[in-house]
Amino acid sequence: MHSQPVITAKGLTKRFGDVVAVDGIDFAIWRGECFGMLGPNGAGKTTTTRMISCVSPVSAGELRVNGVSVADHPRAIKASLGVVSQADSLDPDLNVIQNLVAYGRFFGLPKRRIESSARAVLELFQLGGRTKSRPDELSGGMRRRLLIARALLHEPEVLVLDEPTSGLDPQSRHLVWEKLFFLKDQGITILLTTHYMDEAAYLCDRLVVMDRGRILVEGSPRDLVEKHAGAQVVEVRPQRDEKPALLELVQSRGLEFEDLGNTVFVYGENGALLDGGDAVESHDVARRPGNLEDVFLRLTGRGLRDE
Amino acid sequence: MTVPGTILRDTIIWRGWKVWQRNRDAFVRGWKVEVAGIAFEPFVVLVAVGFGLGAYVEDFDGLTYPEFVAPGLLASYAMWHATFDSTFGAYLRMETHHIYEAVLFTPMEPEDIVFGEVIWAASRSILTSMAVLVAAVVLGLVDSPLAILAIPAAFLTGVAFGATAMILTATVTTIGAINNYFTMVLTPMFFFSGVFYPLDRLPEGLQQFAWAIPLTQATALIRGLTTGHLEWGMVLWTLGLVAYSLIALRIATFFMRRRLVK
Repeated sequence: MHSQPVITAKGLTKRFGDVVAVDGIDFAIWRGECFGMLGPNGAGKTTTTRMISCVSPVSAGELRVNGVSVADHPRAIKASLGVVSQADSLDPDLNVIQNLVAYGRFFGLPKRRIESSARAVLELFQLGGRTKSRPDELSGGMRRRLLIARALLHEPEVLVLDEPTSGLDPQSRHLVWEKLFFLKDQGITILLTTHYMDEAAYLCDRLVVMDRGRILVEGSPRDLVEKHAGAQVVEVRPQRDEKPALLELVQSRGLEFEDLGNTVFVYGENGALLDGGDAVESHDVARRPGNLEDVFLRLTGRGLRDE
Repeated sequence: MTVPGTILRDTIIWRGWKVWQRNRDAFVRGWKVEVAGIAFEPFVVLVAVGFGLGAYVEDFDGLTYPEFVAPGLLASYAMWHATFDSTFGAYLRMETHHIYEAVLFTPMEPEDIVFGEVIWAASRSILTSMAVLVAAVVLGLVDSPLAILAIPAAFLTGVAFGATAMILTATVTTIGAINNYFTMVLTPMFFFSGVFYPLDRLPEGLQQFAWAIPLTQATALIRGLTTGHLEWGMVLWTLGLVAYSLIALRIATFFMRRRLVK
């Protein structure tokens, strides 16, 4: 179904002094797909996108965009990418249209092409009426849309998005998703990092879950949920003193579970496996379909990563 | 505006020009504030120092004191304005507004940013030197049509100091370090570079030190142009400023790459 990968990594490694941020990962991103990188903070997602964007040299291993090593032709590779990083890097000294014009010049585009492209991307992202506004006059959602619009100005082959909807309200997130979905339909390749599971499930054809610089699993959202969470998850919230009995029951039946403290998640094809256990009867029990968040928590654990 | 011809395409000059255009657009948006800052101060200082202080100072080398001071101020303001933009201005663009980060995600590289920023800083030196020159002409302090060449000389001065400032910007982690550069480097230089008095009034050892300061060379060069007292040293000082600029650009590029690409 896919002809050739746009981006390939083999043994890709990034070290900052003694710290290994990316630890020998392999992946391939195919033309026209939306490829997701999920992981907690410090997993190495952003570092990986920065290496692809040629703003962070590779420490070891191989990284190619369209078959060209990032070390050899950074300018050419950067010309084929549209990057939206986490920083709000809109130019506060310029208005909306000037922001786009300046950016177009950096790509070496001629003036006329910049003007027509700018009109098109602003229309697409519903910013056509704000060309004269300064960035600080725009809402957070509009600024994010403008950042994505700016990254599309030169019609890149690959759109690289580092947490594109973090901090946005639900309306703005859905608008961004809708636009990204539209772009994917147009055939653009998208690389997306996120820690929103619904975002990954909605947009990504394929994704990897990363933690501590390594790739833990790779697959389509549906396959990953099926394999690592199951069709159904039972959430049990026991009375405080009854938790040991519950855990004992779960373990005695050989069920997979995750102890989250106040709540115990029991995974499996069939939540009925728990039925009939005395320990369960008196608890708060909820059954729901498995989702990516289950996959994520099971694979990466619950410890905070910000220390 | 585009660079004429295609010879320059895909050179550092062509790419630096894109950064220059970005800064010009930002400047034009706020031009009223900018122009006031550029034109007002040199005029006030020229009048106050030239005529106020000058009333108590004897003529030397056949020059009245205001005639002597005007070219020194022209060189100094070229230095101050280029330095302001390449320190506080550039640091703000880089650290607070993340503009360099955005630029690096395009085919531009750190050397293009440094070059464009320095050329822009030097362009501001042109503007301020024009303000001083107009004031000096109006006040009758210019004796030679060669004074028009003070404008390119101010540009060269701006490149030298802009590039030096970019070394600082690329290496400091706080804005306080930039303040120290002004109080501990530039201000002493300002008073030891022959702007306010002839250097031969200084003790022997200090004189040699003073001639190593780029502002001294810029001042001597521009003074020769506005007074029409030409000498061979002017060629030497020009070459000195060019060499200084090239070295500073190279160092600034090295540190900027180290800071931005990691």
